[in-house]
Amino acid sequence: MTITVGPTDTPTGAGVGLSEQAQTRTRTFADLVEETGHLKNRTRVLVEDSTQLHQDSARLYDETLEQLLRTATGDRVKESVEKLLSHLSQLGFAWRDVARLAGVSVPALRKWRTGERATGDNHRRVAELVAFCDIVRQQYLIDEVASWLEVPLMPHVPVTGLDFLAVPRFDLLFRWASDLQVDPEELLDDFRPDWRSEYSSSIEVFVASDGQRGLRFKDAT
Amino acid sequence: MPDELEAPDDPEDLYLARGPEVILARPLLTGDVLDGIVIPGLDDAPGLAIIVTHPCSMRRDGVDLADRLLTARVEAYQPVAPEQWKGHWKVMPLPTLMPTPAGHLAARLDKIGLVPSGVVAAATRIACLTPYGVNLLQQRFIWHLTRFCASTSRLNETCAAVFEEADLHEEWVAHRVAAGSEVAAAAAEFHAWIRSEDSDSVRRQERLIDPQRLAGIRREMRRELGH
Repeated sequence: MTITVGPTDTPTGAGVGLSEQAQTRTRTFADLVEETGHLKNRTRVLVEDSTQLHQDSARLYDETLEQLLRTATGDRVKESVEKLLSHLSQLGFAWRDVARLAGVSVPALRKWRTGERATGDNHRRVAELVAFCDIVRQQYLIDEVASWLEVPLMPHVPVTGLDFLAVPRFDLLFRWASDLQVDPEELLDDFRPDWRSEYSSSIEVFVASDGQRGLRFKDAT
Repeated sequence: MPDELEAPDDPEDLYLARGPEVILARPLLTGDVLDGIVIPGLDDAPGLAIIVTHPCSMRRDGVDLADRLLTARVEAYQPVAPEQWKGHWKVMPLPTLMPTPAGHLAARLDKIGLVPSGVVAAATRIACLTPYGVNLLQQRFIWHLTRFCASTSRLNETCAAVFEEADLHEEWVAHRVAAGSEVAAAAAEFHAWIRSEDSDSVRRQERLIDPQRLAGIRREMRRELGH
């Protein structure tokens, strides 16, 4: 079987100047296979190129965010620890969370709040936390940043943005903040590959008839 | 691993405050370690004891302590390495609780008794556990009694609101006491505020169940305190 192409009534730009014979040659399925194969290869190359471009731009984005965080931290560290803690207080952070993120005890944090000096490293950690909140609020319009950080990513998996911060994994937090399509499971896979088995449980929380919360096996009704 | 007895990565994760770090502004709660306690039913001398009453049962009306609180004796015990926490079912190890000539300490879950809350309230508090420490204590106590293992993350879901309220209570009272109030008066003031309704006619105390609401309640409380 053959397919006959043309001639066309009105020559296209590509056809202008070609002989009548060239326009009317018969093409075979073999020709089509070759052409579509070529097209497929070109498409694959384009996909690979665009994937690479996406990865490169994502890496560049992460690097610029890290640089932005460093710069913002450098600005914030000029403020006293007391003032930085006041910012976090106004955002609604729990002191026990701030203490954990700063790597100190709650009593040590209490002393900072009343004016006692922190070490340089601790001061920088608190400044970095405030700078991170600045970026998330300004770049991604997440105004309730403390709430955003302390709500678990998924129901019944006790991992929150605060856990990412404690490590710290700013890259995951920025991805979570910037990408509306991001799947929380992907973030958890990156953060803690064993999270599915670690947090699987045969028990669940329920509200008892007296209003108190209790535990029971999942198949109990 | 899920539903297995757990161990802290670092013993420091167990303690919110020890010795002089403990402040009166913090309400009595499960996991508080007290000195000079006589536990009825145990034929021993006054000594260290830890509150093991469930956090939700500490107060009969959400404000005043229950008449009696369940406590367990804290005494010298062999060191328990992290990998050994799956055993030693009769104790809650309390490593680094305090320096003692007797060595390490542990709460004896087989030496328990009810102590009048007045005695507990008047005793010297030498340590408070973190929420994670309280959850571990509960996990081991439940295991000791029933051989049922509840993960600390699930236990935390049942008690998180109580832990949050204790933190808010401490912050409120510490702030008011620094401004010249008495502890009891400041505590009463806090209880009135946390049990009052917010602008949506919902009691603030009920809001503490929802993690999404916590930052807002803290901000509101800090504004109320004039921070």
